Amino acid sequence: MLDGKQLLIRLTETAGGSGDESRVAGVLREAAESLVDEVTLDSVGNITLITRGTGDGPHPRVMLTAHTDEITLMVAKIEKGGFLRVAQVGGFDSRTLLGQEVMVHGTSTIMGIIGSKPPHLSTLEERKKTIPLQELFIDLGMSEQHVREIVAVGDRITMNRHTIHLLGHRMSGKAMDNRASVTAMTICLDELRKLHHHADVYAVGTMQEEIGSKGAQTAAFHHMPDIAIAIDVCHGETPGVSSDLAKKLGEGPVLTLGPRIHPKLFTAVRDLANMENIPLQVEVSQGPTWTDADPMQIVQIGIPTVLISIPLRYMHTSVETLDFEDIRFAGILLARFIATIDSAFVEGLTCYLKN
Amino acid sequence: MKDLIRSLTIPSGPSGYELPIKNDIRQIVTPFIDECYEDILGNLYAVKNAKSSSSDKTVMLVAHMDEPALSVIDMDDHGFLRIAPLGPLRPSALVGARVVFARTGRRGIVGADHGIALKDLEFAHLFIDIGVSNPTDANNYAQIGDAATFAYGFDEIGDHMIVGHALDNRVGCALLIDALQHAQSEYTIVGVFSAQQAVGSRGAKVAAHRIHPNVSLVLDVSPTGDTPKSENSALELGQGAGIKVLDASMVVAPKWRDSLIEAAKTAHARYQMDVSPHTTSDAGAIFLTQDGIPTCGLSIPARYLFTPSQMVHLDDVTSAQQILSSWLSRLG
Repeated sequence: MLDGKQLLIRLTETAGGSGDESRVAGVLREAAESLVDEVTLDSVGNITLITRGTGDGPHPRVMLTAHTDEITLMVAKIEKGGFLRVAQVGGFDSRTLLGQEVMVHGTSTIMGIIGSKPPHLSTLEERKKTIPLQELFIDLGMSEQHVREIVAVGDRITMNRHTIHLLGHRMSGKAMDNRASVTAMTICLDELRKLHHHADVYAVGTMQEEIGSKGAQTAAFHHMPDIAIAIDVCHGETPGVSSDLAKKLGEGPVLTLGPRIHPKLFTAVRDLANMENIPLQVEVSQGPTWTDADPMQIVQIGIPTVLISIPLRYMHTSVETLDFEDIRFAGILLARFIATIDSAFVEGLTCYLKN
Repeated sequence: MKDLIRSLTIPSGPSGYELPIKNDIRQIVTPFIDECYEDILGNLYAVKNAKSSSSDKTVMLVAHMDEPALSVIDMDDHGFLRIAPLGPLRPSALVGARVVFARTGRRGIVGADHGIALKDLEFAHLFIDIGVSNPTDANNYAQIGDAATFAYGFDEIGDHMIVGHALDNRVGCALLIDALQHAQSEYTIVGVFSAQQAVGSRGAKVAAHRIHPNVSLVLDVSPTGDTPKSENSALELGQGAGIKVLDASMVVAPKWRDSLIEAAKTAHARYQMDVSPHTTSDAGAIFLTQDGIPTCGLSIPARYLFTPSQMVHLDDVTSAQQILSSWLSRLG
């Protein structure tokens, strides 16, 4: 029996920045290997879990993606005194970095804290401003010589954060973006074992999404599916953010409508959720979704693409907060949708708007 | 090596019209390679077969040969040429610059409208003076659409530093030529002198599609952080070749990054880790091709990029040469 919450905790507490996803892929593999027929790794860092459908005739090919990378920092320079200057790999909200505990992944993993000039010694003007990334530094509490023995330029820095349970199904931690979706994808694979499905499913943990959706593009080229489903996070309802930009936590996964999304896929998923009584929210996008959906839609001759998101508060901080029920429902909805896919449906997708 | 770099910095190669530099490179590499061809984007391919004919693996080495340029967009009644940038040039670095037109070889000077403060300078304020007084004469030497590049050539400062307007990336081209001439590998080496890097790595993209190698390595320059008030970068001139960790276009997989570190250690060559989050290279375009191509990079630390006086340390070039040779011989 798959314990989704435990898996989410393991995934979020595993360090895996863009281009360095192998540990996260390893956790995913361990959790999902027994649920699928085959696991493959490609030459650039994607992991694919393959589960084959049943029935005669050619099987529709459905690809799911959930990116495995998280935003991290990287050692850009070791300064006099052993302080580390950092570069972004993905976009941390640098306003939230000051005072954080971090883990620096050198020849061994060591703790550090992010510091800057104290307020007492800052001018009034300086205190009004956010401290820019280039003025922050990491203090490892060691001599420069000791630092240089363990740490090198190019080493990764991740947040030191244990994932916690809040009330109900709410959970908070780092890297919920996008281990929430990796968890939803795994739940989907687990659900599929209980269902008859004709489609072959390629569930891909994609690499380097946070620096521009790289893995989804190459994986989509490789698998060239009939349907691509991106799973990612979207903004959760937050004071000061209007309701069209943020969706409610605990009221179901979010389905996106917009130019990157195939309209018939949108309608099919929405109608199925209605019929099955699965809570679902809708988000409207006017262009880029900034997810794996964007590049996948235009791979080779084009792929019908749809996007399911988990609402998440405080994106790109170390306290990303969500409701686990949204993850669970996303997994269930995806599995039930996949079970409905047959060749006739796939063929219908080539007629973009006609019914 | 210094002489090769010197000779490569002279020919012009604006993005989209790389003909002069390409012809020179083709002439240099032809004697020691097995095959040479071009494609419709203007990339030059130089193939050196694997040591044993049984090997079917390919490594693609890429060095862009183009350089940022100024494109003529208009001409006034007195024969002054108005310009727009082809690639990432800054107006402030151009005032008074000497330039040369790639097609005709005509030289010119960049001038600026009078009374504009340096900080307010935009391309609309700049023009090229080619020493004529009317459009009819001007047309003999430069027409709308022609591109001009810097015309400074090559200098040495002290015993170790070289300076040139096109060290980005003729240093990379020189390293690639050297590898094609001397390297021994179990892989077939396809050297690509790529076109149009400065306008979005367009050449590298189609080259990667055509070759679809098992692995690719990009040779390019990276900016140092060792000048007054420069960015937080650990790269220093003279401390060894840079092994690419990431740039603005991709992150190198640990496996391939470490293969370069091992190659450097084997060759006893100095190296530094290159973290350049704001620098673009051909690596990202190659990496994303088709189902993905493992891609890594060797960087030559350089000061004053996108100015007429780019500076490189010769020891870093030597380190890069040693690391590349060692890496190629260890593939297999």
